[in-house]
Amino acid sequence: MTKIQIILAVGSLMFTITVINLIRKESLDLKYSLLWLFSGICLILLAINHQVLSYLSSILDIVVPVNLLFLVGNLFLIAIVFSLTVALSRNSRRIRNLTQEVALLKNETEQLEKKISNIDTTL
Amino acid sequence: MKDTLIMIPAYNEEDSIAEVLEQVMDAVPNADILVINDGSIDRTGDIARKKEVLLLNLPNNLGNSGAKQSGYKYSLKYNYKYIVQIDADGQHNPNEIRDLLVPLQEGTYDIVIGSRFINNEGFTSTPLRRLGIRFFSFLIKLLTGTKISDPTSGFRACNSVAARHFAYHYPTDNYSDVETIIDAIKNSMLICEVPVVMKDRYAGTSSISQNKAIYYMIEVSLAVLFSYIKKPKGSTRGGRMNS
Repeated sequence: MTKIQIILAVGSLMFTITVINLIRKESLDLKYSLLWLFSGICLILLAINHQVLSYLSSILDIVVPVNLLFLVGNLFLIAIVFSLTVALSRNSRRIRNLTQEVALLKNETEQLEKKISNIDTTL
Repeated sequence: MKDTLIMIPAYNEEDSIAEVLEQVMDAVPNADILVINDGSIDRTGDIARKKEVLLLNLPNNLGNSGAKQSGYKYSLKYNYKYIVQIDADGQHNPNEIRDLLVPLQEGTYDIVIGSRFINNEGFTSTPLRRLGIRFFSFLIKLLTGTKISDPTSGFRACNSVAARHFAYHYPTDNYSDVETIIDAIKNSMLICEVPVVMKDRYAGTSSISQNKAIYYMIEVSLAVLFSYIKKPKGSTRGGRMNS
């Protein structure tokens, strides 16, 4: 095992434990952290298992095996960022709808208040 | 219950909103006026509240498209037949609202756009912007075959069929005027233009500064292209038969 692999393995392990801990404390939604968990575990496995990494690297014509590790890490990051953009779009649509609905409801309440105060004055 | 709703989206327009409101009330006394205060941080909302108009106060600033969409939601909730959108900065002449409504009342069109470029009178923007507008006009013609001479005009009117569509599907892009045209045509709505004369704005600055112009052109062009390849929603003419 090279030094960088050890660092990566330890780093990934600590990261995965952090993710699990945050899900346990409910400060991270499982829905958004599945990809993080999955990528963390994959990176640990790839980092500690030298044979698998070397084998895959030789198939893909990658000279230094650790580069495969970086590649996989990068791909996971892209996937995660992309999934976040999708989630963000969905959330901004929801916020827009809620904002509009709140404005409509506020308007309705004000109209009703006016009507009630009119009734009060006529009585 | 009046059958026409005039919506005025306003974001920080305290310098012009009072005058615009008075002009609109004078020009079309038999219509309801809805001010959509898009999370302004100035006195726009207070000024509107003192007038005899309807008021939607958006708790967040949603931008032009989100504000207009809430106006369409309002029109749907209270069943207005005709909906007019007019800017709060005094560019549009409220006396021309009636002209916009004519093709709708005759039942021949779903959407009417007030165009500066039919008679080319009044304020017709700067040469650079005219070039941009002409490009969008060309793009719409290319994609749909419909000729719209002033696609960026925010002075528009539509009937309840179009309003229902907009209430559910309004482009989210900040500069959605061009996109809505493509979207409407794709959903088989009929659009026409009537000549209007615009003024330079009373106060404030355009939402599109010179620096942002190129970004704006690219963003709107892309939005138009995506709008063109989107699936039709079927909440309009076709859907009207079923409902």
